[in-house]
Amino acid sequence: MAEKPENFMFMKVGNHAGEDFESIIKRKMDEFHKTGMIFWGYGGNTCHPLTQVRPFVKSVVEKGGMVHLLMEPIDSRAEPDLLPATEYSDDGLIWKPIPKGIRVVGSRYAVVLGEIKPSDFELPLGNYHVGIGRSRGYPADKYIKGRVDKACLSLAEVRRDAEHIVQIGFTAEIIDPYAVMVRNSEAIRPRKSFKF
Amino acid sequence: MDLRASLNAISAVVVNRPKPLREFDQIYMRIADMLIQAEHVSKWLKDANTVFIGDGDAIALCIVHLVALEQLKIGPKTVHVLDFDERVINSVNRFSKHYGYERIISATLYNVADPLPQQHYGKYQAFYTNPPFGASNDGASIEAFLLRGIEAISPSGICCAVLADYPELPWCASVLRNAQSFLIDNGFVITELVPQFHTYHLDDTPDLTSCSLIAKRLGDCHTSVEGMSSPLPKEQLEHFYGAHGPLNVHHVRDLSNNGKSISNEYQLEPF
Repeated sequence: MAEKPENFMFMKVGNHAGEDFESIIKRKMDEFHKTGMIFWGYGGNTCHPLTQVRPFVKSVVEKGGMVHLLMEPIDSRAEPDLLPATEYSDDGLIWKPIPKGIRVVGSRYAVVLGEIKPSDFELPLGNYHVGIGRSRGYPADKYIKGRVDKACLSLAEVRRDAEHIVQIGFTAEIIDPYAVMVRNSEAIRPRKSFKF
Repeated sequence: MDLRASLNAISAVVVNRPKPLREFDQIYMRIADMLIQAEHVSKWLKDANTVFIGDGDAIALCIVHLVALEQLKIGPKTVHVLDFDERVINSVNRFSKHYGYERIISATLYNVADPLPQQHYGKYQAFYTNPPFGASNDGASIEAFLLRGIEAISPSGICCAVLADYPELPWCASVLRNAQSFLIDNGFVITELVPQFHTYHLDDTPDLTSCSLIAKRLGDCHTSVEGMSSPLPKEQLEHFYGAHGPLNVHHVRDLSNNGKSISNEYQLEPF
């Protein structure tokens, strides 16, 4: 892929759910060789699969382009719920079993990837802005901060090369169905009775 | 207004709300802004039978509760909330029943994609809406909410709308212009716009602001929405949330047995 892509999804990555990042990459590549795809789990309140990632990727693909996930490895110690997902949905209405051979743990969403390839290049976030959704047009270097660790980004008209350089360690093409919601069908959360 | 009593009133409303669903762009206004907004629009809604076209924020309950507690001196005569999320409907009716407001505020399930039910057509003096901000569709989703509000009010009714208004995001201005044009084309005059009036609980754009827009319909103007209410065109549903962002969920169903049960909380119901 080009080292100066026009449209991509950016994500900070690291250890997750008690598994170190190296093991995650190895496991995901095994999944790719078995199934031809990878479900890369994520969560949080940005990059919703149905309202942001899928429309973003589809709009690029329909113009003949492709969108990659660009990963910046960081020292992360995310320890979410360890429940594995058993179902996925690309519309929130119809839920299908997670394909055999794929394991997604501790995530509400997953971006669907082809082969993950090691990379090593610098990416100036100052050249990009948010490409979809409510924050569309917001400078990426201001957007990616604090709890915001991922975004669908597009090349901006106003570029500031030196602003907020990140080191990309891995890339993978986002493939159909691009991004999905995932859940554990057995999971039922106790809810307390409502009291005023 | 007693600030402590007023904030505690808002707090009671807030803990009664369901959690927002990001797949529908449900984002909640910050509490202080809810109080200010409730106080602000209550003057415009004075003695009006009012319909809310969607109300995830629960501003309707805030106004009714603040008036009942005598923290606001004026407010609407009655309020009816229409929302496609059954969790929102149940939360309004649950609160209303608990505090004995049933004769003042009620709520029923309704999706703006459907024709406005006849019992609501032209029956109100004012409508209020805080629609999806329309970032990806140039405000087309806003027009759907405004359309239903216009259908629901009398020829000289009032529109209260909350619309994105954040100078750092260029799309906000064009969406705001389109919404104003839509209102003007339908016989309204913009009577007030309070810029950058509210903020939201948002991880990614915590500084995002919205404005309060008030418009009054001129009773002598013939508009494009007179007559019967119709379903939204299929092509509008296909791009309701922008390109490749269809509206394919008819209702959000509440699986929590009105907040009492162990359950998966909600289920999406297709058209």
